[in-house]
Amino acid sequence: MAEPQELVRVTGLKKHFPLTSGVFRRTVGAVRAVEDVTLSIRKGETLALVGESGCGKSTTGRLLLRLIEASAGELMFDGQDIRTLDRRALRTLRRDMQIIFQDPFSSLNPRMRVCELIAEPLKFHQLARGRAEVEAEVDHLMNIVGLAPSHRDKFPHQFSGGQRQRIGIARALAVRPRFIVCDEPISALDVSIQAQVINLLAQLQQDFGLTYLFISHDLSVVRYVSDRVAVMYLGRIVELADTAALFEEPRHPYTAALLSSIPVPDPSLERKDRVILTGDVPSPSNPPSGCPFHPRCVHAQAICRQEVPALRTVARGSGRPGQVACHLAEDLDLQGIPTTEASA
Amino acid sequence: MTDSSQQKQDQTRRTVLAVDNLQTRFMSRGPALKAVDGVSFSIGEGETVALVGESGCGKSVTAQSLLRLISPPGQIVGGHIYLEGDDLMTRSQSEIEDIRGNRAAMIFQEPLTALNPIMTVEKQLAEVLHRHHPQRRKEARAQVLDMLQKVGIPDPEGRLRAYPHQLSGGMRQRVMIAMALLSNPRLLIADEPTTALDVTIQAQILELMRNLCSQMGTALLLITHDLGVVAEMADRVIVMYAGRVVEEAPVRTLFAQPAHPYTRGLIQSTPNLATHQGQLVAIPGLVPTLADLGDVQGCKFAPRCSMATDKCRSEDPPLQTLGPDRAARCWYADEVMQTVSAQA
Amino acid sequence: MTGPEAMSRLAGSRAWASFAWIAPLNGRILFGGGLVLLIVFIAAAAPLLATHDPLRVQMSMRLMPPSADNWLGTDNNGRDIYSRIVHGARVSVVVGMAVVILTTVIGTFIGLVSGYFRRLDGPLMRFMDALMSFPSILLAIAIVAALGASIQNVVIALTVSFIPHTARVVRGKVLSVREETFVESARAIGLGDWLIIKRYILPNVMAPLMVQATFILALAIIAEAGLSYIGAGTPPPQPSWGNILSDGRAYLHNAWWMTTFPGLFIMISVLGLNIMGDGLRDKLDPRMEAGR
Repeated sequence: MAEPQELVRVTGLKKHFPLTSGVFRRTVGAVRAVEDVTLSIRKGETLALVGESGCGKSTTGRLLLRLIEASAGELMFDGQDIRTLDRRALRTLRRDMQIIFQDPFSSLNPRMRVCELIAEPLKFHQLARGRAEVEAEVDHLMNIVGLAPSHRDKFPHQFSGGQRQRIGIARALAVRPRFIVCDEPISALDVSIQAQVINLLAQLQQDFGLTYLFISHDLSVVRYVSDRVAVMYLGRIVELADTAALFEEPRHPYTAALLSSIPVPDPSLERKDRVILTGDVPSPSNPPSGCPFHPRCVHAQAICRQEVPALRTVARGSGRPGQVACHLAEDLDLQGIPTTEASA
Repeated sequence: MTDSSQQKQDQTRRTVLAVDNLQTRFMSRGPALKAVDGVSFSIGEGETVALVGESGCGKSVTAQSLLRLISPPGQIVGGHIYLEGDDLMTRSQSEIEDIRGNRAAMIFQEPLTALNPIMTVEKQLAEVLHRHHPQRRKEARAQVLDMLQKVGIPDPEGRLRAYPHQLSGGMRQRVMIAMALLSNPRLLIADEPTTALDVTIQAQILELMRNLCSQMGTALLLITHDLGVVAEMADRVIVMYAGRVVEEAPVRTLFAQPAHPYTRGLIQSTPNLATHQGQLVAIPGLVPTLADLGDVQGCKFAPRCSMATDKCRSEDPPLQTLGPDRAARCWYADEVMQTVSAQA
Repeated sequence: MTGPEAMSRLAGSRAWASFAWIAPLNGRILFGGGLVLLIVFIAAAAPLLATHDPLRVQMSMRLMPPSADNWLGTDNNGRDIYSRIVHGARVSVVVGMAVVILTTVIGTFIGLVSGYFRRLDGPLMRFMDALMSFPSILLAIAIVAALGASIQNVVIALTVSFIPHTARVVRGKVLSVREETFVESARAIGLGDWLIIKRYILPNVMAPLMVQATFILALAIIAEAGLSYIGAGTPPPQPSWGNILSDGRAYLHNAWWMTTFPGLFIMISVLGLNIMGDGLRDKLDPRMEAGR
């Protein structure tokens, strides 16, 4: 039985995409996009899912929403097993969980007007009846996301990236969801606009009690938005902890390397002992044996090459809890990024 | 402030590139769009200058204009570009082609599209070499191998016969850098060189560029939207907005005490891993497109500026010198600098 | 400057307001479309435009060159070529339109189903490939030979032979559209497959479809003329451009007008359609449209 404050619980989630070859589409292997993900998201929190391209973070988000079907594992939403839902039940579920996409240019149907885009979910789920009611609700949603309702008859291409992202947010909000997967919602936007959208998402979370899964490749953004962070590498979660704990006391060498790689917009900051990872992320169709990170890990030992480390609870110096998938978690002295006072 | 030693060094540096009042327009059915509107700056030997701004600010067009890579409907309509004293604007097309890839080279955001997909790594590099320094095949191969080693490509002999699509994004960018640096250029223009890369790979590439340029004394013009990259790489920074330089300053000065409200806004809206504090401060409004700017009277930033007065809305401020190596295009630059110091 | 902006600017001045819709059309669409409209007008107004009964045989008037009475001369049976061409336009337009409508509807359906439901893609497309592997005119001849020569059977034959082309074009576009994020966003809202096809896929394949339709129309006009020319099309004495040409074949040396004028009309209509198709292709190109 799930704890009451848990909204989403994922256990042993897997997704393998078959690799085919030749005329007869023989299966010759699989891209192991998601390989054993277990996590839970509490009501009202933002859980960030962080990792580099190809680590399976976006696939995980889509599996949670059943936009793609999982190969194995259990998906619970508000105490209900959603992997077994039939078509109709799934349609009802769509009202509870929504998604905001990365690319505001391709995520809106170019042939639909803004009002049609926002009205579509309202009409489909019969959340507003009659023309007047739909129109009023569309105007209301546009106001909420900071769009002037006078733009309602425009087409998506007449807007800038940031405005389009607001349209996408309004469309997701239309069904009054409880849970939203934000799939890199700001990475296609200009810096000055990114902050606008982040602040909007935070405001909406407060106003509507939303729960977010915030998928991002950018740890510095994550620090501003999330309560907890899960770091993914090659389809697995390697570390999961409260945001401050993860940033200040990383317990997985990959987390530490990620933190150390991020450029900080402060030229006066002296960064000692930077870890610059060598090599590339291995292909998920041919993952290394043992710990997926061992070929790039400076601390790797014999056991790392042989055994896949389990995600387990590891204590931090400050006593803050968190889970780490590393054989050597207790023995390593990894550097985090202390929170300092803002200088400007 | 420890800029005085740096400034002394700057004065003794030989100027590699000097740009004077560069104007690039895009012809359209309406009035010509001023993509680059009177940009001037210079770069010294071994110096790294960052050109910063958001999409459509003219930073990439500036970079392309420098090597006269602008094609219709774009056109350079005025100004001078001096490479080691030679005015490139007076050179013929074939003379420019001799300079490109030889005395000045360029690398791009997406190396996959910048490399020829049907040529092996060896052929692409040898071709560049051959074009500018005809020599025997064996010697060329030795030189190519040497360069591949320098850019940190593991097993360079094996990679000689690889095609671009067989390499990872990071490896392709290394090949691009190798290609650019083969003929020991005096100036390297890097247009968002790490934007398409993962953060751990970005760290590798940035470090590589920093090391190679300082070794070879190459002047580096780094075009980026990422203030984190700027803080880590640049000696001096030029901030562009709406086709113009709005601020120019040594990197530490710029971050510690921005003189233009736009620069300050950019810094405040950039998430900072180290100084995380509550909410990000967004710049209101939209990133302007070139077509919108024709109608703006006075300062182009005034519509988004919280400090704008009637003067700003009616009179266009000039780029004012604020000290050695410092300039800003704002009527209230002194006040902006003071408010920032007061905050700190 | 983008289309809508230019439009609103034009629409701003009142004198231009009623013509504002022309602004986004390019010259080729106007020119090609003008030629096509001309042919359609001729077909529609044929009884009014004709100076003679196209079927009246007048052996005393055989093979007369163009004159004040017979503008484009007469044929080997003394029938007025001008009137026959004007009436023949009806056959061309009717056959062309019928073929385009049927081909587009059926071909689009097959293309949508095949591109969207990947499991049906293999069998459907192999069947289309099989049809396509015959040259379409030979396939049409075979069908007409089996069914008998009549306008209706010509339409059926041409439709069958052109469907694979439209189906392929639509399928190709569907394959790229279905990968767009907005289709996923529709799924996230809960929309079923058919609603997604109707609201998301179809509107986004309309552009290449319209271009394809203009080319199919041109091909159909040529094919109908070709079939009639070899006697497998419009049965005489009813005039069609193809069988007028065919009649003139024997008199190529002494009555040039019998072949030249119907040939000219075929050329004008096909040229008009192709020019219009090219113009539409540029106009509907999303890259040109999406610029802001």
